Amino acid sequence: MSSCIERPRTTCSLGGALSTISALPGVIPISHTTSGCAGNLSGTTAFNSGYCGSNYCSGQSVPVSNFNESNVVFGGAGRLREELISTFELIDGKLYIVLTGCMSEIIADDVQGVVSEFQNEGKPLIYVNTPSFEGDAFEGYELVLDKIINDQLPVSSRKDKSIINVFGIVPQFDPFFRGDLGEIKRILERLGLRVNTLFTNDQTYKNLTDVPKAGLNILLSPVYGVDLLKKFEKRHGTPFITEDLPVGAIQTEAFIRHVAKALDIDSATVNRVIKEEKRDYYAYLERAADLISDSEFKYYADVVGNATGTLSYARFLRDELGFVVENSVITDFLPKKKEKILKGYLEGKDIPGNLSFETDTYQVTKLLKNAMGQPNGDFYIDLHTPRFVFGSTFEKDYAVKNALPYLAISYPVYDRTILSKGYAGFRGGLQLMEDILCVLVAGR
Amino acid sequence: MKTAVIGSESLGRERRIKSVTCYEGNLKDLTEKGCSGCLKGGKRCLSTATFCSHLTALDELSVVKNAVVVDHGPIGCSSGMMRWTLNYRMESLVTGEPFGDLNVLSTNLSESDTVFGAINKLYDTVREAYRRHNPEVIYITSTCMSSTIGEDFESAVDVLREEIPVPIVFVGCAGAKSKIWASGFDSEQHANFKNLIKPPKEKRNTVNIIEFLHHHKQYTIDLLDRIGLKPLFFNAHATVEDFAHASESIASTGVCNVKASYLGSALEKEYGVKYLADDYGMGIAGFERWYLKLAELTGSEDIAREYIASEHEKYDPILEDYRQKFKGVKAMIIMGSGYAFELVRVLSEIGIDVVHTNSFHYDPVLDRDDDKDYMKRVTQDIEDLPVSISDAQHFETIKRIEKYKPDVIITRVHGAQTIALKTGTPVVNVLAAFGFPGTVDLAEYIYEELQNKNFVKKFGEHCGFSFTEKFKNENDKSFIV
Repeated sequence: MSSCIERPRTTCSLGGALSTISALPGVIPISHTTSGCAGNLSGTTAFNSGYCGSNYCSGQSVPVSNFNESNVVFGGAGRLREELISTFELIDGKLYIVLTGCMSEIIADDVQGVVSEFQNEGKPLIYVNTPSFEGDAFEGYELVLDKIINDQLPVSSRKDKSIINVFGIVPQFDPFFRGDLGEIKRILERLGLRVNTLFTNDQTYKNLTDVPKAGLNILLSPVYGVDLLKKFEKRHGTPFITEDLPVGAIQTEAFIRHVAKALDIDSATVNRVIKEEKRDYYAYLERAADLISDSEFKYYADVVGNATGTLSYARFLRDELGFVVENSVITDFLPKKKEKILKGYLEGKDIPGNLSFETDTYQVTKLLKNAMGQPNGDFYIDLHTPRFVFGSTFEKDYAVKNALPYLAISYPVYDRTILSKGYAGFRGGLQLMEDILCVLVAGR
Repeated sequence: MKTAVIGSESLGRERRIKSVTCYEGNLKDLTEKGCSGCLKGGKRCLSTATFCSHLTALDELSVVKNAVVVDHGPIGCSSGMMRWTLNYRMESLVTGEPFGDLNVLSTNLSESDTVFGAINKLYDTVREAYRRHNPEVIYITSTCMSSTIGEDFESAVDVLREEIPVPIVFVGCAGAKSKIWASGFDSEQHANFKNLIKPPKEKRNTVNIIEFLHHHKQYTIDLLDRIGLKPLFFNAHATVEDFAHASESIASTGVCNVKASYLGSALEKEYGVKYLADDYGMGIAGFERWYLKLAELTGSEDIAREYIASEHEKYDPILEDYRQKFKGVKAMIIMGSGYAFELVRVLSEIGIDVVHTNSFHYDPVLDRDDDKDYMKRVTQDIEDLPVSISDAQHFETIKRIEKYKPDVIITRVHGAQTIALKTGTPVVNVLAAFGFPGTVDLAEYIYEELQNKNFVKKFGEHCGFSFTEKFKNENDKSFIV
């Protein structure tokens, strides 16, 4: 077993940190790295996440200390100080975060020292260590939020049970993050709750500072955010529940009932909301029946993606569309501790198909190939086709070569664009179904 | 000869040819100071994301046919390949090359590796790369991390060459080595020259075309065919064998000096392969000079002249029509230095005035000794043109757009197009403006863009930049200190 990773489908933690900050309103990143890191990462996020692009002060606009070989020898603290003075003068923000990279960590720059100079002047500046060896992009998400929430935001004495925070969806590395969070918010608001998603377009900096007031945290990932929310609970006293990302009517109904139970929401409201949502959902489905019944609409499916979404998609395909899920492949690049959390969470859980953990893209393709039956000269052999591949664009070439229908659902995505679309919730489930049907009729 | 193809890796451009990324003034001043060696790279008080010379090298290596790149570093360094894969796929649709993802294997360095070294990970990964892909060549690239911790690449390459029967090529391209991302071209060309290019056995009527993804591949083949030449394309789509034959070509050329200078000069110096550095077929006059020079190599000037005349006949009325249409149109250029200055002339050929040109970096000289005055031909009529040099520093770009108020911005890559759009200015991406058809294409794009500004207007109205109020009103504030 080799330790190498072919075509990694994640970045260093700096990449995830930059993506996360780009989605936080009013927060400005300053990357204390060699020239190149931030530019390199801006491409992989702006273009490889359904062309999510850049915004206010992200991507190519990120202030970077851009240090070079001489700084590697003599230290980059002076350059960082200069960059910070200019950033405060020229760039408007509510909170500024210095992120480190491999080189600033290896040469052990005194980032803390420089940052504290500015803090002493009352500047809203913090720093987060985000070198590659802290973990991957998903870890970067957690590191940034942990620093802001569990280190910076003051503890709120007034808790409001109607305020909910949603965590676990990582900007850009969950390519549908805006649509998914928007739908989750819509559903929770129907239950009379106020929601801090932090990353949807309606959010302001106040949503971030209001986070400690929440009565409940909902974590939509089995791994990403577990440590964050444990510490959150300790510091701010807000409990959390871990829920699978709900995709489609069945999962979303269960999601609503779990949240309602945790918050003691009256069952009349809950039942009414679920009833109305399902009426809408199945009314669309009813009319799709003509197409579905008129076509061969039964597929074996392979689902490749991260720990947050893969099993939810697989369950949706199995439970709502009647597909036969053969493989659920979780591609995350997890440190031992996180792997333990994930495996613990999955124990006893309903898992469609064979579950595998594989980060290396070459091995993922091999795994998918091997799952298909191979002609061996026998008169009859079940090839396990027709087959539908759900994965990242890295899986596309395999699908195309084998003439299999395919849909990009996980990072990296660069053969489709994603603006407001999401696959979570009732509407997301419909959108996923719509996209699957689109793939199947597109050649007509 | 600044290209010293000795040592295990190339020097960064700042040190080798005194390239700069920070300047504001006019063209005359820039070139005079540059040539006399007194152009000092300025400093910025605020710098933003630039690109990585490591990734530049990685990109150019991964497009070599049947090559595998083993990136000795943390995964973040290799993840940039996703972005280039995308470009490769887009261009594959144009060139008809096999459509697929580019390959890189990361050795996945972790924190303990920075203390104890990780040369064994490199061995394992190279062996694994060979086993998996049966490549024709394996490139080993260094990163900031692996070069800082002092990994012994040379020994590793020696050992691996004993066991693996394909070329194992070390490419020293740590990102921290140079702030100029074009230094990555030099890194990979240095390595390819040392390892894959062989002394000539015979002379052949081929021309080395050193450029990016060969957008104009078929057109180039046709052009060369007329004058009895055949192209050898580098690096994209080139095989190891193509590299071995590069020294047998009559000449080298490319669509961009920034890209072609190192390898072109090295081939000329070591093996006498003429490097056509002054022109590379951009626009009308550029194309004529370039094509005639190529034709001289085979004594086919008459054929070339005849072809150029027929192209004039075909395209002149169209170009004249555009010149009328573009009366009064003012453009700003934001491009790499291979294009930023040449394009001023090309735009004048279609009747567009350039009010400012911004180049991502500037090479005062090229790698060849006799290229000291390579800018002269470009600059002679436009000495007063306001010029800036900045490595995709887009806060500066915004201020310049506000200052010069161009009707259209001509750009390519590195994020300038997004920034231009958000200022509400029409923007056109130009690939090369290669030859008559390319020039007309460019005119057509610009004309189309100017016909309907509804889309771009929206951006101007609804997108903001993250400047402080104070800075928004300071028009002449410079970031250069």
